[in-house]
Amino acid sequence: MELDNITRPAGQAQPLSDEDKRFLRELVETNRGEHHGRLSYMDIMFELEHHYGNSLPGPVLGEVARLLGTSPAQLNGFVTFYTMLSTEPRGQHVVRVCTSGPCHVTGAPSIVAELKRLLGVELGETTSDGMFALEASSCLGICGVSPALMIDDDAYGNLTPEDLPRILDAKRAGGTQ
Amino acid sequence: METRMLNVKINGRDYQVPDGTTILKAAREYAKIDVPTLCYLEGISEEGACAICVVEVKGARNLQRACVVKVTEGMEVWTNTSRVREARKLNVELLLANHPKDCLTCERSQNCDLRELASELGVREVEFPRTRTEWLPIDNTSLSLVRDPNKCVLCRRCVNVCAKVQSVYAIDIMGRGSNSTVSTFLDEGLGNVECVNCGQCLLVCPTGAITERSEIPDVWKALGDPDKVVVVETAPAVRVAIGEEFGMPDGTQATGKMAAALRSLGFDKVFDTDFSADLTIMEEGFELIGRIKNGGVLPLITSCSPGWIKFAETFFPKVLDHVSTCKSPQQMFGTVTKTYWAEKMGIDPRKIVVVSVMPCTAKKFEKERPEMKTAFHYWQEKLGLKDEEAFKDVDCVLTTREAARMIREAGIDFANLPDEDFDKPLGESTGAAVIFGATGGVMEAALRTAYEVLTKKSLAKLDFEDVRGLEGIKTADVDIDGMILKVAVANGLGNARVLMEQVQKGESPYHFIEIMCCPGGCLGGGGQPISDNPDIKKRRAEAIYREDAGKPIRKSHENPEITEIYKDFLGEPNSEKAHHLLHTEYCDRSCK
Repeated sequence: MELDNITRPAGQAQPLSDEDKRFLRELVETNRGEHHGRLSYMDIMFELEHHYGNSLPGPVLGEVARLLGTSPAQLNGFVTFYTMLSTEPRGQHVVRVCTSGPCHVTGAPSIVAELKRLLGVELGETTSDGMFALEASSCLGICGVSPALMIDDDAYGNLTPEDLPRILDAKRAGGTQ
Repeated sequence: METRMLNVKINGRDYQVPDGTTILKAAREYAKIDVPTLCYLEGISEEGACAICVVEVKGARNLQRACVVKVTEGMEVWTNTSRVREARKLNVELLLANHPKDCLTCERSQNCDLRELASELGVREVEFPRTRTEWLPIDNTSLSLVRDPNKCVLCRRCVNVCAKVQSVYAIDIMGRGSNSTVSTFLDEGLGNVECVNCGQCLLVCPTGAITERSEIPDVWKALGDPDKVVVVETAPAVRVAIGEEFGMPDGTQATGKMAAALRSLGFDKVFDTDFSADLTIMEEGFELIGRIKNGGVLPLITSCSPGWIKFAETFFPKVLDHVSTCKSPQQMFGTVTKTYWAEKMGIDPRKIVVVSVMPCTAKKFEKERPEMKTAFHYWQEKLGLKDEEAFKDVDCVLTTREAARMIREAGIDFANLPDEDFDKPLGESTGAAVIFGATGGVMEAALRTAYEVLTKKSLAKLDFEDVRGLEGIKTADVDIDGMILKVAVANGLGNARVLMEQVQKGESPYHFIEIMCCPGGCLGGGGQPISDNPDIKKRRAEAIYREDAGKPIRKSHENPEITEIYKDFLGEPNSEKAHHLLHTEYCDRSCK
């Protein structure tokens, strides 16, 4: 058996640019100063998602693990535990519809169905124009205004299917509510 | 401070247990009731992940996981109520829902904890359908290990042993809930990440989710080829463990039966890696003496354990110039067989197939390292060989388990075989070589030789008790005629890491360090029989030291075959020829 992997170090499949490396070093340093240990991971991951278009590319994670002094596998485990983080490329805006209990009983299924129809995608998919990724989410913590969803960092509550075109259009146009 | 004793009632009977005792321990050790467990591994994996060990506790609404819940004063525990039995059964059934039911053909069918549990708990059917829609891909990227995530029950034992014992952290739980898997960084596979191939994960896996990459078919093929001269070498730790595979008591010295069985399998020559272990001591011992006399890089660190070597290359590239340049005994053996022995016997080296039986999965990786083709380079000019005709020094590596499987397949009644000897000339060895199989053994063997070479005096007592035993890190000051040699021995990579951080900082007080990748040394290697005896390493170690004590020659430099190979072939230890054939180099695998 021929071995091209026998001398290759882990996590170096695609090298990062110097610019990427500088950005990551500064990001990790800043967050390390504010927090300790795994607490800082989430802040770093959010920053990374903003920077890399709602996803966490593998080589970036490898480099961040090295800078944090943690194992790449552990960081990967951390990232994949949270459904809000993704290692796969996603749309420009991430639509997270809550499907937990309170939202479910107040109408989440009809919200999900209407979003699928309007966007033409299934849960976990991105629209063909790359604008929206549709995802089911666990409780968003705003059960008082259920059913609810979030697009990027903005929350929307007391939803009916009829509200959805307007919300999506506003996002598409770059606005917030 | 005296530990407070707590009163606990287990199944209606009163016991007193020390404060801090888990319900599991109280039940097993005090009440003599075996609460079943699956994910639990004492001191390593205590997470309460599988919920098989549930028990009823008076006053608690839910069933409690006995492995993580500690006894409190006056606690009343019930381990065998219908609620408990039903819950355990249900939990096993849930685990079985996604498990492939291919037990008939599974490698672990005879020693699978999950199958045993299902049988003990009386699970006769699985009501639940599969929830996973697809079969997960099998990880075939490693030269040593194969992972079948479909058989994984997410107990986390492998994750914990990799992290807590070996400090490698190559695998973790990815995703969450019922969709989670154990995997590597970005699912790149064990062959593409930091994994050092030690196989400790395989030893603790309760199912057939982790197995060695089997080379049995290659060995059968070689044995069936009349044009090949197939020789086998056996590592020191194999002889004290292989008997377990045939129902012999733990700690049986099965050296003679092993030699007989391998000969019976059809190997043309049954040689002994112990011979090249003696050779390693000559080379490494003289390397140590040379470094001490000439002010070379110290501490010198041993290089026999390929898991340790990949660990150093990955995590401690700065210490590589401390690591002995000596090849491991397995690789020295391959080179010597295809050069010295081939020449002596007049056999075309291309016809020789070297098979080694090892307690180790990392050896499968080691033999594939591109630099391990020394015999080919030795012959290339003499025989006018082309580059594409290159052959490896060692062709196949079988684990102890694989060798036992072949012996069973051939119908050989191992336990009742009359003892036989190894073949000459690569079969003679000393007690110093035998103890390579236990942590501290290489150190002790090297000290026996270094002492006598340096002082030109005979050692009064050959046993260096300070470096024996299963503790993670052992240290000793050895008086060599007034010169104090400071030595340290670590087994398990978590312990190695402690010593290497010292070396890296330039703060290591030692002259010589022995590192063995696996806990207990090779006798606890990832290629050894899977045992449920918690004292198994102790039993195997006792057998190794018995074997050493019973050897007529116990110092490597007194092995007559070693004297002969230096006289006839290599010249002096560390000679240019010895360096060329028996030494190697390392590469930096760290992420920069």
